[in-house]
Amino acid sequence: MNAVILIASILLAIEPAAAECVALVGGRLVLPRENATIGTVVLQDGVIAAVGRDAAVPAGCSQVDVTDRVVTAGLIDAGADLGLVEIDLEASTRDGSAGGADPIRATFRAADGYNPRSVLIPVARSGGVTSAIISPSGGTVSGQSAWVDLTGATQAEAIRRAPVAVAVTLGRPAGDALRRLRELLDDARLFQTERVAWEKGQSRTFPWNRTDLEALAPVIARQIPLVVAVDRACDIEALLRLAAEQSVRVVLRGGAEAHLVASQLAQAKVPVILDPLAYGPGSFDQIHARPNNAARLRAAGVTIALSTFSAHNARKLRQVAGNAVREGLSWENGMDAVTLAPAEIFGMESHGALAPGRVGNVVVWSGDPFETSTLVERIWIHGRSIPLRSRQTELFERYRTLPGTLRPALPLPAARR
Amino acid sequence: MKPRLWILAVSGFCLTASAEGFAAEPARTRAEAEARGHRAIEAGSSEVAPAFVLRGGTVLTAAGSRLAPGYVIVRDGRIAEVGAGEPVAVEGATILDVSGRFVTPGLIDAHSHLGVYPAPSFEAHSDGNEATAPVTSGVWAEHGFWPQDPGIEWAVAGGVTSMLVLPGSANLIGGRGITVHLVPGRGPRAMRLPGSPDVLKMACGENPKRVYGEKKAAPSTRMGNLRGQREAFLAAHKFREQWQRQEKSPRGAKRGAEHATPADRDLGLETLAEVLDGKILVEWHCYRADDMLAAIQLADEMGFSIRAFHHALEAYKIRDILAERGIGIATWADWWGFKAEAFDGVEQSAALLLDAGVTAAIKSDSPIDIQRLNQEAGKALAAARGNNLELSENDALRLITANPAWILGVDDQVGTIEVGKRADLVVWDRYPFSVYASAQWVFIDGHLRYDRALRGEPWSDFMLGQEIRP
Repeated sequence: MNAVILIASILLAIEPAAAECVALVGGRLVLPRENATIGTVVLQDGVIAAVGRDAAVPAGCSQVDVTDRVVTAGLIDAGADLGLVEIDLEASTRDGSAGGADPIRATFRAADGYNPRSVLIPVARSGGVTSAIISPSGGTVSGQSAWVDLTGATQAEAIRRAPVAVAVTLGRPAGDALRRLRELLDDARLFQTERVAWEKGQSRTFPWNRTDLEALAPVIARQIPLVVAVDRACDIEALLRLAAEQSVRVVLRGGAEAHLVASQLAQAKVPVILDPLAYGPGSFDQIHARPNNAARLRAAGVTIALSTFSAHNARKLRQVAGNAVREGLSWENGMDAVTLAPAEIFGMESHGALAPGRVGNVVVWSGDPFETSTLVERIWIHGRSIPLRSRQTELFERYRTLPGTLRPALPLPAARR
Repeated sequence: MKPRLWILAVSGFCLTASAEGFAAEPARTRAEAEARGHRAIEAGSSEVAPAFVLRGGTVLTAAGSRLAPGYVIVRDGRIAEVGAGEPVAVEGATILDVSGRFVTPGLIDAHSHLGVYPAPSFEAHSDGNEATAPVTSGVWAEHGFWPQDPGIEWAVAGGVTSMLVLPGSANLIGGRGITVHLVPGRGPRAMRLPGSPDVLKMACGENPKRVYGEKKAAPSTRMGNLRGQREAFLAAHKFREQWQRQEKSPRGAKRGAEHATPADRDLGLETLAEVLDGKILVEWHCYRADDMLAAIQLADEMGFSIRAFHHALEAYKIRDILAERGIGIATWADWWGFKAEAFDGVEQSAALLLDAGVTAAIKSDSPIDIQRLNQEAGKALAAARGNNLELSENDALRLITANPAWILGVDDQVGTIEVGKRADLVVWDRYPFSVYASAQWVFIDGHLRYDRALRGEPWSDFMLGQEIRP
């Protein structure tokens, strides 16, 4: 019964029909984990139909010349809060946190608050970001994360899968959050076996909401991970012990000192989502933050994904990746960390690569995507061309010349045509 | 012994001076009071700067030239010569071959809170906002500055050689800021860029009205903001007039100027009087275009000038007015949206401002972004080119060198590679606006303060011992 409910919730997203066919011809194609090649990408019915040097262009398919341009899969921010906030300091625009005194909020779903009409989304797209994992914050167990594609005017179009993870913050003292988590996971497991007795009032009571215990079922079943915000190396070790004891999957978020325990992370196959810009000792949990965190983790065999951990600054994802490369990560691994790696961490192998059958999220760049001087030229999401307009481009156009910035008086009705 | 020291401390006022620099008498003039307030008792570095030549690299002077190859000769901590091609032999100078590298002036951050809000953040060392009253003109950032802030070394690693450390923006008038030269020091006064003027931090818009409004105190609206600032400057006018009257009175004239100063000094009003006299530069935190217009109106009414607006995400909307009045702008390349008054930021802002003739700077206001000002300028350059706006490489470099130097009032000393200026120089491993560029060497007053290949001991005492483990 539980399993049926779970699967239903995971298959929530429905691929919208996109009948158009377009072939991007002559670009430098960045392919997953292999050498780039000059070739063609065919987008048809919302997905990538063909890729490569010799990709055949179907009859009737429109062609776009992208010679001298770089073509990549759409970038994925593994921890942006897009669609959950419009203006940080305006509480009336915030949907990212359940709030309240209860630190356990596993039932709280980021997807429920996702606003696909947020004006932040076109700004993020202008940086080549086409997907984001949106996560709740606050409390110890913040709630359920969702995968969104940055398109569509409805949640139905944008939300591709929910939940993809349960978000957790250790905070300080870490031991308090960890003891709570142990008890909660134990009880969630017990609740599954005692459910019938519990309904009849024949089991012990649980100090948690029924719905919170239910929401942790896919975590216990290892279908989705706990994404845990943690920086200090010794906290990471404590978390790894909990993950092993409880047999749950964990992904680190932040992980400023993760490089100090890289081999343990690699051995436990625990991925890390990090922001390589946030180095330097920002807090006492980050005394050993180093600019080459990403490079060192990757060298140790840890799967990494990158994030801006932001909503307004999500367009900086490419700069984030560029800085990881500046500090020793290979360019290919940098690209991997903003495309295929986040897709694989969250079980969304439909995304993250220029490969036949994958979703038609594609970006055309004027040059190296990570370089400051490079511009996003075209973008396709679900196979549809998306204009690069945003509220910011409209502001710029309004104020492009001065004076004349105030909207002029309207023509008299008789003069209108 | 101890009691004697206590007595000395409390009765020092009436003892005579025992050594040069120790004054027993209170200051009798404003100028003397100002000078004493800034005097460093701790000595600065006595190291002698080596003479050296950077040759073979591309020199971007931020003064209009791209010398490829070019050379810079440094002697006594100053730029002795800069030119294209090869230098003639320089006796006694070390030749440093920087072929394939780029040389720029040291970067200058026009807006930082390092030292007053250190990294790592400490509750105990958070000394940036005296948020106990909305007008605190008498507080000085240098009195809250922690010279051991580990973030300072990270800023230098990013090529930054000077920064303006400001009080925060909780207050309508937050107090004085200090331009810090990023050299290790035991106290902030010895780290001040010599000769740099004091600045006054002011703030309009959301922050003051939020901080005090939440306490059910004034100001709680923009109306209250303006009233608070106008009243402060009215009081300063009264104070200044009283002072001037006393100086001109028969009694004052008879005793000489040094006896004309009123005994009842007022730290806040003295600071504002210095603003009215044009000796302290006004650096005004302001986002919205209409808030900036109100600030300009207030400055006109009260008779002072504004050196620069900071953050100023809507400055592009009034860039004609800013250019006409010679008001500078210290802004970001692309931060926006975190609060309502920051909602209209655009990436083309810096290019639009420069195009209109505004002295614009890109600053960090962040212990993280201060490490990558070169990339921020690179993004401004890209945003301009992507929108067919004119922005030269030299202008982009000036966003993080010469223009912030002007905003800080230190453009005669730093900000360009020109003969006679301080030898604050960065050697980059590649084109400095690239995301992949790193500072290889950073020189301050001709001293090598950062070498990417040889980190040495940490600057900060706090970072000592952090790496030690069995």
